[in-house]
Amino acid sequence: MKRNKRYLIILLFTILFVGFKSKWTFLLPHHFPTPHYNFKKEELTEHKIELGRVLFHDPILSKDRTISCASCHSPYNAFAHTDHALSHGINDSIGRRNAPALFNLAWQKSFMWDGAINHIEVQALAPITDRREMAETIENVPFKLNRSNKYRTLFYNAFQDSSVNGQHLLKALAQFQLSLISANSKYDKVKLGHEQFNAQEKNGYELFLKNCNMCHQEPLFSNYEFVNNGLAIDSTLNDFGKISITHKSSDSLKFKTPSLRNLSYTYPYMHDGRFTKLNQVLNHYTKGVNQSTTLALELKNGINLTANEKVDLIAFLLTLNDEEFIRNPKFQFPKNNL
Amino acid sequence: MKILNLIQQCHLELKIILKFELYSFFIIRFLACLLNILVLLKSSFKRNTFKLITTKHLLLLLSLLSNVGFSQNSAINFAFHFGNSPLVLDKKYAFKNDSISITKFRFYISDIEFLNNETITYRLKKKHHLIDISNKTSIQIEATNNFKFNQIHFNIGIDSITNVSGAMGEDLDPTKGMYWAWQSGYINLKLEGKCNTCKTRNNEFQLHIGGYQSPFNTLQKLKINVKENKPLAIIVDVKAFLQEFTLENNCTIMSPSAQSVNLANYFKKLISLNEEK
Repeated sequence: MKRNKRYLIILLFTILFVGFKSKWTFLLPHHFPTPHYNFKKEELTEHKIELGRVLFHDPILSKDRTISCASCHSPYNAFAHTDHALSHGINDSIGRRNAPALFNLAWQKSFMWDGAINHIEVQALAPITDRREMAETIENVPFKLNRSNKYRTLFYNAFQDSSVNGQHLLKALAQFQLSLISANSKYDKVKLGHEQFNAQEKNGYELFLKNCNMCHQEPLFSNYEFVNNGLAIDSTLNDFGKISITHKSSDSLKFKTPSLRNLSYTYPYMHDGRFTKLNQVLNHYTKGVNQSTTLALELKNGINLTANEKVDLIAFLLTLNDEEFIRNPKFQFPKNNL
Repeated sequence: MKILNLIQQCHLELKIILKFELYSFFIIRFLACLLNILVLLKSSFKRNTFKLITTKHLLLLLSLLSNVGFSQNSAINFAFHFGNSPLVLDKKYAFKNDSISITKFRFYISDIEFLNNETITYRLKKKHHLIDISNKTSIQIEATNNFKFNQIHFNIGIDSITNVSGAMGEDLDPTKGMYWAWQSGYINLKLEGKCNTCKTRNNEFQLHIGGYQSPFNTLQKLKINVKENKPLAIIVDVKAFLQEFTLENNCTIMSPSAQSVNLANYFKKLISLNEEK
């Protein structure tokens, strides 16, 4: 009898434990650090993510219904805009920065190249209202969505409220983007013991740890800090980065360190897309660094790499491509709902 | 009503069970839900609840009657003025050898506390209130609360924690036009209009004052002594605010900056009490 009781208590506890753990926290990669985003406070749900996916791919968010988030953040390019140095918006407007790739956003503390956005839920406000991107007013989006029965149903399923408001719109978009987790590259498989680096990749990995890991910290391949990496100022853009947000001279020319994951799909590189090839990027770090007062200490003397070392380093960097991520059907155009 | 809500909730949970296959946890919650309904049904059949409700209402009524001074007008009312006259949108007013008109005016009030001899006696549950001249504005206080006060504290603006907590609802919904899109943060006060001293397009001035991070923090804390336990009629005088600085040099302010901090220091000039009431 007593024994049975004990089992019953243990059973009850396991039920509670399993029950409380959400389906989505199980998806967080084991070899990743604790995310910055608090999934316990704001749990991801299937309906909210699906609504977010529909909104992400729907040009209804833009003023003239021509541009969707996916226009510049295409799933097949790891949600970047391959081959476009600067972002494209409505009426063929050209933006002033490169559309960044979107993945592992739950580990980022701030958003945009200059960190202007402090929370993923309010990020979408920027591209929706920017006159060079979607040029819409944030008041008008819920108005348009409220006239669609499809959206009223989707919002009801997600939030138990069929009337669309700004908060729910932004939360749904955030949930879809938070679900974009890329952790199935060859590098990840090696880390989890399922695969092995070849000799070249292994050498490249060692070179990476010695020369790049300070800023492009594994396993996310960025510490998401803001640094001046010695790019010469482009006088046609005059973009000085984070200083425009903080007004602090110490933030001059600082931009967010991007992750190196999926780098084959996300060219061109840098905040203004000035480099199209990985070789150009490495050449910048070995002999092109521009000296200035806010330059990252690690780059004061440049990085020394021989031609052979560069080849090995690139071989390693290519193991960061996550093909499963870019082909994941859960992230593609929602055929059933659009 | 309550029962209906519960039934709906149970139905929803059943749907989740089918979808998520986390049987154990949800079945327990589903059963708990059913139990709840049963208890509710049982108690309402007993009619005891009726009695309870009526006594509760009676008590409420009594407390209302006993505190005529405050509870009858249990609200904070806002009246918009331009100097001595009421403020009407798009109307021209004389201002510093020139004329001025206001086209848009709204601001946030947050963390309202009532104090009696320096001790907090009541804190409003709703933390943030958008005060907008184009909406008839008053803040309701739950009539059930019986408290004494001779001082009121509140902020003009939104605190820094709310500013970094993602997408908010109701008065804080970014669709209210009080949130910056390109750089995260609330606009604490928005005042727009026309004045010939502004050498801008159509002589328009746009003051969007916000910023929650040091050194550009624009939140202002106000402490006002008031008549004991009397309803509050607050006058918001735009002229008193505009008089404090040279508008000509501040026609367009739309980001957190030293200029916005400077103007935020004059927020307190906006607020005064209508002593007649």
